[in-house]
Amino acid sequence: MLVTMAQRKTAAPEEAEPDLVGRARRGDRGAFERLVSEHLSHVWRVVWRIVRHDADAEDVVQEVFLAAWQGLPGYREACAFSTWLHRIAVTRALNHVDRSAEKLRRASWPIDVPPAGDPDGEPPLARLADAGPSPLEALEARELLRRLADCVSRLPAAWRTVVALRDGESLAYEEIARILDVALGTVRSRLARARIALKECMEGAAP
Amino acid sequence: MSARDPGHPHERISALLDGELDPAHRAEVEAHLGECPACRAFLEGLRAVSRAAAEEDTPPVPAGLEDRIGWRLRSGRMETAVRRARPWWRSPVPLTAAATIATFGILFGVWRLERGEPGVPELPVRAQRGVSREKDEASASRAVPPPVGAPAPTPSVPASPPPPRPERAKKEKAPPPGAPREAPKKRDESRFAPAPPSRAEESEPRVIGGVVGGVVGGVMGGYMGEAASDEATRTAEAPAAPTEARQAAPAAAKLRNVAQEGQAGCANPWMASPPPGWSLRSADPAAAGAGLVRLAARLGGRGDIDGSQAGTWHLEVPRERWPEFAAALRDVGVAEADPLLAVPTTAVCAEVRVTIVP
Repeated sequence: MLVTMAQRKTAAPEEAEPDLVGRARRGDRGAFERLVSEHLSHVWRVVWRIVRHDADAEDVVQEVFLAAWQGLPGYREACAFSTWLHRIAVTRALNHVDRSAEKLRRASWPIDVPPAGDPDGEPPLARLADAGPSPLEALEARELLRRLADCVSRLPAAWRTVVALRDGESLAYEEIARILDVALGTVRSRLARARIALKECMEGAAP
Repeated sequence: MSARDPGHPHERISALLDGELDPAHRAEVEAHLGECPACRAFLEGLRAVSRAAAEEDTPPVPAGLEDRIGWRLRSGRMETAVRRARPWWRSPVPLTAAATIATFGILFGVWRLERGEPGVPELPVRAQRGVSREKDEASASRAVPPPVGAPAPTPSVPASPPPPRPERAKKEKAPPPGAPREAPKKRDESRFAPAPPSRAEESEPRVIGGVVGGVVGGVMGGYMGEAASDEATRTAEAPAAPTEARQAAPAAAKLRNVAQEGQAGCANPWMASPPPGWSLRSADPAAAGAGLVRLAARLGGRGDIDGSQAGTWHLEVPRERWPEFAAALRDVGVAEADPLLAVPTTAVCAEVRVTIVP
């Protein structure tokens, strides 16, 4: 009879995460599987938002937990387990995206250079200063989300990552900085640029 | 204010939206917003974007993903357990250090022998006569430090005890036929190796060097032999596999890995979830699938068309033949995207389901 991890989780008594992490570090696979159960949905969402492809995201998520299991003896609790796990997830997801660098280059564009095919054109960022009433208000929610998905896919992966962590997971800037191992100002800058790019993209796509 | 948004604090407006500004900057930005309609519109635009991004649908966690992770954890754990089970003295650092010391000791001994220093017995006549310097060194290196996995030569270490590794000695008794470890035994070294000296001829330095060399060589040989035993086994058993694959899969050259998907079940009782399968593309799926089935059969396994899904072959090989089978799959063009797929083995079987689409 097959016993799934979810079934084992429900059968096991509640246990604090630090205890589970401690047991997992000592090689208790059952404890680690419970950690997997608890963090799987978060890791899945973050990875999917970066990779944006179901099968690829599934591969990456598996890699994340295997890497976490193998790297657990080196985890020194200098940061929260979730932060450590998210760091692995983001790194793996970005690595995966990097492997498709050509595809990414085709789908991305910088916000501070003239549009492709119009070298004398105004960079999207420069137009923001004169932005009038936003056409976003006129969009229906569903259409907005559809366009958003398309626009997010075009974002550089590093920008997409901060959007995933902030808007998707509601993490604080400081937490995001720890996960990405960058300065707080970098998080703020990337997030602003990502949002500006998204806004531009959706406004450009509006009828 | 960022250099990227001269005249308008766009970065700080974004941070304000998230409540990530300190009070001083917050007051500054709010003051600016009170005077700048463009920035107020910008703030509303960012708010809409942020809300939309937060509400963006993400697919649910795929069914079975947790179990697949569990299965792979078990596979990965086996590898980790093997690594952890190795005692410290079998780790590479002390062994390398010991081997280095032994090598220098041996070279020093050879150098002293060649110089004929007092207190060091001369080489037996048979070893000196008609043997060039290169040959002499070669014979010395063959005679004293044993190659990987070979036992230390007894002539120079008549009284040295065997290394305390009975389990390794047991393994060395029955090495795989054709494995590299047996090669030195086939050489006729009697023409080049120095004749065994009598006990009276042996000097103390030589005995010490021999003991050290023998013990270190034994440990090193055992370690390397054990570490290489799996590889040697694969080397001994594998040669036919790639050729088999080429012959068995007519459309082999056209196969390529396009994704990992699907599931396969293994009848092994401890396996709580199935391993992932592979998906291939071939111009002739039937021929390619039949080739894979023949390949599995030749490796002592079996395979058949999976009745539940068109174009899918269910393949199973004995666990010990999995490396060959995996190598053969790679040979027909399956890129092993994930190294852990190399060990989808249970206690008795290795199983994979391959979907081939035209």
